[in-house]
Amino acid sequence: MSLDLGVDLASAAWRHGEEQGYWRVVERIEHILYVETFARDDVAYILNLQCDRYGVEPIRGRFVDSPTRACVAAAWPQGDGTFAGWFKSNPQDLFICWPADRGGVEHHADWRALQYWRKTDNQLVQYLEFISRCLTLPARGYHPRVQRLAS
Amino acid sequence: MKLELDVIRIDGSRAVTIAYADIAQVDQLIACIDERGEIDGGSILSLALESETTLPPTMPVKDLQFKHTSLKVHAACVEVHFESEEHRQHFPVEARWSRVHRWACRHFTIAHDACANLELRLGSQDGPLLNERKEIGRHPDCVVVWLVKPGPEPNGAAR
Repeated sequence: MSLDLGVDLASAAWRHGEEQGYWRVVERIEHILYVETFARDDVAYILNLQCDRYGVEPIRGRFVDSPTRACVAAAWPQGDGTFAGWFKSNPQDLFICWPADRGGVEHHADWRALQYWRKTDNQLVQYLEFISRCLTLPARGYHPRVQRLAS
Repeated sequence: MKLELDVIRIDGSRAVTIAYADIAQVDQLIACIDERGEIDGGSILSLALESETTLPPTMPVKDLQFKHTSLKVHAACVEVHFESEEHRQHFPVEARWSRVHRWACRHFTIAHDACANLELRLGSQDGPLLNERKEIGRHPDCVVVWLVKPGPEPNGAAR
């Protein structure tokens, strides 16, 4: 497993995801990445990824508002109960509840022992594949934004 | 009433004529193109109709509004693996990967609900994800893809 964010950003697996249109780096500020991810309704969501202590600690991902880069509930994708199991969009406590996310591990201390974020060759790709899957596979429960606005 | 296909594959070209006057339903026409043209019938129908709309399988063929009755198609070979099975099929290079997914679910008789929650991976079961909204494109050889069910991802309870 790589401990170097730069190496993983240059990897074939990361580039494949970019070429396939699953994600796109909008900006990198040292260990912070702003990555655009695309849902099955073509809506783009911006993730702020804190990647300090890369390979050692889990990444902290938070959806942010595109122009302001503020982490606000309105910037988070919405879905059914299954989806809400991972994406906690309570305005007072916005985090991704998954064992490879730092926020998830902070909320579930027992997850630290799993070291889930280290069970991969590429932590960044593992993270973005998880997000992409949640935004595209119907069983993960994402509610397309257009459908939400209409209902 | 006939559909003339000129299919250009990496292993050569073939011309096929599909007479559809006696074919009653869309699913039967798709199966006929699959078999006779050795290419995904759903993709060909979509090109002939200039429509990506999913047609009801039982829709009468006589109700279809063909925009083209003669098609020249560059085809990509795709080897699809699902569990312990595999099958090769050709698809128009401009078809999206979602066509491969749909064809595979039909070919391997996967239930509709289960089908929607499978994903295509390139090369192996653990290969990189394929975005089904992207075109298949041209490939020098037969492309190997796997239709797989993603593993469960743990989370906390909804709150």
